[in-house]
Order: sequence, then structure tokens, then C-alpha cells
Amino acid sequence: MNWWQRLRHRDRVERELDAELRDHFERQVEDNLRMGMSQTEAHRRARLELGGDDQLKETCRDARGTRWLVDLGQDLRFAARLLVKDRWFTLTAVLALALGLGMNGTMFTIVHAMIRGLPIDKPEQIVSVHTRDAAGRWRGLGVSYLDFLDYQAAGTTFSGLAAFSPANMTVGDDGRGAERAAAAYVSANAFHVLGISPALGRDFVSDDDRPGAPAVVILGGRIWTTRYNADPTIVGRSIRINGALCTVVGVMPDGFRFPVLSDVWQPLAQLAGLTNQPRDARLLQAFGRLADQRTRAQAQDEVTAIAARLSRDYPSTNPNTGAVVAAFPGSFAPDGILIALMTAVGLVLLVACINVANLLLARSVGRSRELSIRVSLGATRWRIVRQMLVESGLLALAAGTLGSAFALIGVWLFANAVADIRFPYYIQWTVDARVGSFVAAVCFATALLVGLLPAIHVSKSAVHSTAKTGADTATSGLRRRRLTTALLGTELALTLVLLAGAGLMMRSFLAVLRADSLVDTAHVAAMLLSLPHERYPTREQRTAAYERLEAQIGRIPGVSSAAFANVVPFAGGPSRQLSVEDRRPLPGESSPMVSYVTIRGRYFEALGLRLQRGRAFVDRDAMSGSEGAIVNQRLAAMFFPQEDPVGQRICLSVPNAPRTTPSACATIVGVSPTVRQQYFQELDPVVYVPDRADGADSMLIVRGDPTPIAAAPLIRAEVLALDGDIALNAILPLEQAMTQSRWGHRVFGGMLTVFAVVGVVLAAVGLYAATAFSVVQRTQEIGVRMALGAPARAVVWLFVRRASLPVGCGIGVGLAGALALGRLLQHFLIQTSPADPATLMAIAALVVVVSAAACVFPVRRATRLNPLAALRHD
Amino acid sequence: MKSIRSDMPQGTLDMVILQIVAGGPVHGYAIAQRIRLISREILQIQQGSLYPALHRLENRGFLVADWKASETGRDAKFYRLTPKGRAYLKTETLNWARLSEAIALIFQAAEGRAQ
Repeated sequence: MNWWQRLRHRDRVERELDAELRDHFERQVEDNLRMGMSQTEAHRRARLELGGDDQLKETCRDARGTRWLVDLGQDLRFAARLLVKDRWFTLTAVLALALGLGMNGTMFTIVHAMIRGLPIDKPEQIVSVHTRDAAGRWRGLGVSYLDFLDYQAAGTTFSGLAAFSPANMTVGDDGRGAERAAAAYVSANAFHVLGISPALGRDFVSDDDRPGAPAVVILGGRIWTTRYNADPTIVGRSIRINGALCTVVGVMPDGFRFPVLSDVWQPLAQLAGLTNQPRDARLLQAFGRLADQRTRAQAQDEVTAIAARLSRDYPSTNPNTGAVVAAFPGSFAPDGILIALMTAVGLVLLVACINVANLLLARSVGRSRELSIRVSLGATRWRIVRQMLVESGLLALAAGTLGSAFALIGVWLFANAVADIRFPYYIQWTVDARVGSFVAAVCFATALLVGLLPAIHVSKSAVHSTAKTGADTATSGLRRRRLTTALLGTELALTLVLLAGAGLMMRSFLAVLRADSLVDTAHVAAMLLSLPHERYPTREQRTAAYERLEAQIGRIPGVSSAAFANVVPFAGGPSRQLSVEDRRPLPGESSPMVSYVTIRGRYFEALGLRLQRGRAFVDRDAMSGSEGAIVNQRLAAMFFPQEDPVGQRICLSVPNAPRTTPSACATIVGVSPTVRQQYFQELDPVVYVPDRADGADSMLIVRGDPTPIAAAPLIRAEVLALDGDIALNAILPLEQAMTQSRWGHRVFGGMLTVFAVVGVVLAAVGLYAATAFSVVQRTQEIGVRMALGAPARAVVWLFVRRASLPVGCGIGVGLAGALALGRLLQHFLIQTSPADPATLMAIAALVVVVSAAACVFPVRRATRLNPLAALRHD
Repeated sequence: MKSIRSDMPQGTLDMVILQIVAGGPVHGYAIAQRIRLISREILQIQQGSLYPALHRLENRGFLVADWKASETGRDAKFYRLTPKGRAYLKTETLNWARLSEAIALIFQAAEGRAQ
């Protein structure tokens, strides 16, 4: 029989053991009789020989090796019965743990989705290669075309090195309207390096990537379905990309939208002027696949060596430049917020665990008699600890099941909350095996955490105390009280940290809301408009078209003003390095970055803003020699805190641009209110310059009454009347752009708030339960005190004084933790200090009030008891 | 000579039991009797040690047992040696021989010096 059979046929094994021992006994008796003993004597001697029958059987059972499993079964049955009996305790504990586990599951899913990387084979082999300047700055700096070719030729640690450059492309066909799509220029080997082949047709080949090669294009699954009805004969057909005829050679699988959300790809050769770009025009993003058995460190060593050689060979363009090999793609959300959120859910779970541990501890008092009896009957300490662990394990198992359901709901809620955020294609909020194993692991840790402390405490006191008393003995009661105090203090400290995180995020969010409310978004909408390049090749032609559109659209009924800009407020946009003319930067100081917006027409009027100083643009401001710029209040405060900004000269240079590119200087003619472009940082300094019709894309910004959305068909008709080939995207209310841009604080701040609220509720429940328990324990004492004439106030004070220790310590430690969390959140705090005293004070006050309430209520009830009844208690 | 009442080390007891069972299927009572007889009453194995040891050896796969009619006509649990048990017994016997030889050498040397 193997152990499994022995376990399954336990009854048979027991019967056989009985039979075997009986057989032995009978043989002994027979032998004794044969030796001439009397019947009684023979039996007596045989029994003496046998020793303790039950003890022998126990030893045999131990020898069987299945003992622990049998015991475990008993423990499980016993624990299950107990948990069912204490229905309310079980429900509270399971719910608290399930909330904690569910939040952890949700958060892990989100973080995992953001750092999972590309959905390809061996994604960990894909790395990016960046240029680094002599001072080690600009880690995100791209790679120039010429440098890229050198890295490609010399690199041996990569099985392939590719590059891409994101762009927008206009997809057009003869006989119908063009559309604008997110796209990328890629080196011919890019898809091969990723290990993804087209679903239809062929991949790019190196011949496609030679200068002068015939233009080819690969379409994404989405545009192939929506624009070409998934027509399989598309391969080989000619379509227009940016107005130029181009052959479709392939269609990528559905869902593949590398690098971010692209639907169209062309070889790098089609990127105009790329091959002539100087070595310091670092506009490409390079990525490669490490060869098998090669590490990122080896790749780093190699590119460092190549970069050093390049910097020797081309000292004018690559002075002391280095190279960095980094993970690709990097994390989507800034690391700090993810760490902060993971910490937060960890804290919530910890609070839940402490609560349940406290409940178990309180319950253990009622069980001390049971446990003492078990110990006197010979149960080992380990056996008692195991019994308690089995109980907490069962609790954790139930909580894990419920928590997994909570996690799924949480992920669903989060996915809905961010549904309109354009995440890169590889970020999918899916729950996979790794998430499952994470929840299982956390669940296991929870069981240990929750069970171990009370278990050890209980087994200790059970061993020491005797069966004759059922109540708390003096020493074990004191130890338990100390443990409870420590647990409550920890709980409150963690809660305070959570609250502080949520409070700081809320304050930042409110600061952004307040700043954003400056713009009257309700009446403003925007749409992306692209002039076909072949029809408007020169700046003059584009300017004429924009001017006509502005005038025509401004005349549409319901439209009060129309303007153009390269980007709408709140929606990001390009940056420039700004320096003040004739003001030398301090040594080691790099020029700060400012947002850069080119505007045409009555931009500020369309946004409902009035300039604070100076004037709006006039024609002269766009002309060479008399360039003008408008800066926002924040920029003015940063650079000209003492002087009048109007009339000052500022110079703007493109970051990453070749140093030969001259920076453009302009005179400040006006100061606008602060409207942010960027997000996830302080309200940003913005410089506005007159639009010079440099590109084909422009945002049309329209102000209307009551809303320009109603006028959208008229606007569309007006644009198409001018030229049917102008690509025009859907109209987007500015409100939407604004709300979307705030998603980080809205979603993450909201999550932190939910975590904090759950934490506070759990902590309050924990404190309430602990106080209520100690009130029950001391009911007699209260009765005596009140019978002797103690006022209710004094009795309440008795308990408040005891609770003040964990509350006080909790607040002290919690404030220190809050400062640490504040640092983690620093980059997301807008006009809010990480140690914002108002927030911290308010939160400490909140914790005190909640604690006081949780403590006073159960005590008040006790003081209303009839002293006589209280005396008779228990 | 005074008898040793089964407080010999577990490994030795196991080896002794296996050696007895190696002679053919045998039940627990007979094992105890044979050990006593063969050792000229020096080794007296009590049930409290014998049966846990038998169950342990069965558990480790050195012994198998089945219920058969015994010489008295009653069913008894007969233990048999498995190939695994036989191999174990062989190595243990060799180890034991070497150990006792080594110990004997040491005592001989000590006696030699004493003389």
C-alpha cells in the first residue's frame, strides 16, 4: 500500500492494526499457557508485555507517514465548523481581507499591463538605444540616421538593430476623402526584429529602404478593415500616402500598432530628407533585439565603445556623446505613481490583515479554556499553532476567492475609467496567469500574517495558563493588550499615510481644476485639419488657405471666432529650450524647457481669454526681423520676476536639433493667463508665436454659442468647399481634451482616495472592535466604578486614555510615512508641497476624530448599563 | 548476561528486523520471538518498538505485508522483504561489519597498550 492508499483506506488500516496487535497478544497468551502459567497469569503477563495499547497505536500511526494529513483534515473540519459558528466574525474578516486582496489584484493587473512590454516572442530581448550627451543629460535623446547606420554596422550583440520615427500620414484614394492616420517610418528590418510578420502580403525588404526606391506602404489591420473593407486584393494596389502614389505590399495582423497606435508604415527611405540629415539631428528612435545569450550589459559595453569611436571620428557633431541601452518600451506611466499606488494597496491589505489579526486575538480570549484543555490532553504547541494557521488559511482562502472577484470588478472599473485614454497598443487590461499567481501568493502571505501572531500568542498563553480559568489571566491579558495596542497603532499609521497620499493628489487635482477653469471650454471645440501636400507645397499657399478658412468659418452662424494652432490647450505639444537674450546662463545650468504653441487668428478670444499685458499678434510679428512672441503668466513669473516681460527678447531652440540650427529669437509683445499644455508636472510655462504655416497639419479651434458642435456640419462643408482633399478629423469638444489630459490625477487620485477611504473604514472598525471588546472584558469593573459613584465621564476617559497611546503613536509614525510617500508622489503634485502642512494637519485631525468616535461609542453604551447588571456580567 | 530491552538505536533495530524477515515471510510475534531466541535472550524487543518499526519499514518500502493463514489456522500479518529492502539490508550489513571491525581494532589497540 502506498501512502495515498493508506490515507484513503484509513479505516481498514486501523482495523488491520487492531487485528495484528490482537494476534500478537493471543500468541503471547498461548505461549504463556504453554509455559504453565494459569489463565489469569498468562493474560496479565501478556498485557504487561504489551504496554499502553493506545500509546502503541499512536506510535504506529505516526510511523505511517500520513499522520499530518489526517490531522490536517481534522483541523480543517474543526476550523470550518468554528468559522460557520462565528458567522459575523467570519463575514467581517473575509470581507476586510477580500477588499485588500481585490485591490492588490486590480493594482497588480494595472501595473503589470503597464510594464509587461510588447506582446511578442521574448520581449525582454528588445532594448532601445539612446544618445547621451557629454554631461549625461537627455537620456531620451534619439539617434541620428548616420549614427544609426554605424551602430547597425558595428553592433554584434544585437541579432538586429532597427529604427523608427513616428509621424502622421494622410491616406487617400482617388474618388473619396482622405483620412489622417497615426503612422511610423520604420527601417526595413523593424518587423523582423520584433518577430511579427504581415498577415497578408510581404514585409519590407532592404531594397524598399534604399534612397530612390519605389514608394511602398504596409497597412494596419484596423485601417484595412475600416477603409478597405478587409479587401484581400489590396496587396499590390496603389494608394496615396501624403498625396504621393504608393504600392501596398502588406497588411499587418489585427492589433499590431507598433510603436504606439500606428495604422500605416513606410520604410525610412520615404522620410524626406532623412539621408541628408546631419549626424547631430537625433530624430530616430533605435531599438534592437539582443542576440541569444547576450545581456543588456554586454550591449551597453558595445554601444559605449562604438559611441566613443564616433565621438573621436566626428568631434564636431558628437563631442563626448555616449549611448544608453534601456528597456523597450519603457514604463508607460511614471514609475513613482505606480510605486505609490502599489504601496497604497499594500498598506490597505496590511490594515485589513492587522484588523483580522486583532479580531482573532480578541476571539482567542474566549477560546483560552478550549486551548488549555487541549494542551493538558497532550496537544503540542505546534499543533495549536497549526490549528490557528489552518483557521486563518481558510479565512484567507475564502477572502482570496471573493477578492479575485473584486479584482476582476476593479479591473473592469479601471478599464472603463480610462477607456478614452489612448494607451499604446500593447497595454491591455487583461488578467492573466501571472496576475492569478500574484493574488495566490499574496493570499498565502496574508494567511501567515493574519494567523501567526495570534497563534503564537495564544499557544504561549494556552501553555502557561491552566484549564481552571476561562478568562484572561493577568499576564497573557497584559501581553495581548500590548499586542493590540501595537497593532492598532500600526493600523492608524498606515491609514494616515494612505490619507496623506490621497489628500496630496486631491489637492493637486483641485489646483489643476482651478487653473483649467480659466478657459471657458464649454463653448470651444477643435478639429484636426491637414492640407494635402501636393496641392499646397509652399508656405504662401498654405497661409492663403488658412486665412480663407478662418474668414469663411468665422462667418458661419453660431460661430463667434475661429483660430488655428499647432496643438490645443491641455493636449501636450512640442517643447523648446528657452533662453533670455543677453542673459548668460549660470555655469552648469541648462536652458529650461517651455511649451511651444504656434497660433493664427483670434486664438485667445476663441478660448475666452484676455491678455493680461501687451497686445495680440499683428502681421508684423510673423515677419523676419520683427518676430513677436506672447508668453504666459507662469513663464513671465519664472524668467522676469522683477522686470516687465513685455519688450524683453527671448530665444527658442529645438531640443535634440543639430547645433548648427540657429535659435529663433523674438520680442515679447504680450502676456497671457496661464493655460497649461502639459500634464504630470507643475503648470507649464508656454510661449506662443505666430503660425508660419510650416506644416500641413493644424488644429482648427472654433468658439460658438451655445456650442460649436452644432455648427460642425457647416464647418465641414465650408472646408470641403475650399478643397475636397483636405483631411478633416472629427470635431472634439475642448472639454474632452481637457478632461482626458487630467486622467492621471482623476484615475490615480481617485484610486488612492478609494484606497484611503477603505483604509480609514477598516481602521475605524478595528479600533471600534478593540474598544468594544475591552469594554466587554471590563464590564464588571465599570459596574463597580459606577456603583461606587464614578461619573460616566470618568469611565469614558478611562478608555479614551488607553486608546490615546496607539492613536498618538500612530499619528506620529504615520506623519513620517506620509512625508516619505509625499516624496514618491512629488512629480505629480501640482502647486502642492509634498509636506503640505494644511493637508497633513487636516488628515491628522480626521484620524483623531474618527478614532475618538470609534472609541467613545462602545464606551458610552457601557456607561448607560445598569451598574447592577454590569456587576452580574459573566 | 543481562538482557537489553529494546533500547538499541533505531537503525540497528531496523537492520535486525530486516535480517529476520530476510529468512522468509514472518509475522510480528514470530519476529520478536526469533530475535530473542537467536540473541540468546539478550535482545528483547517490545511491541512498543517492534510494531512502529515494522510500520515504518513498510512505509519506506523495505517490507510488504499480507494477511495469510498462519500455522495456528488464524490469519496473521506476514511481512516479506522487498528487493529495495534486500538492497538496504545488504549495505547496512556491510556498514555494520566495517563499523564493528573498526571499533574492535580500537579496543584491541587499547588493550595492547594496557598490557
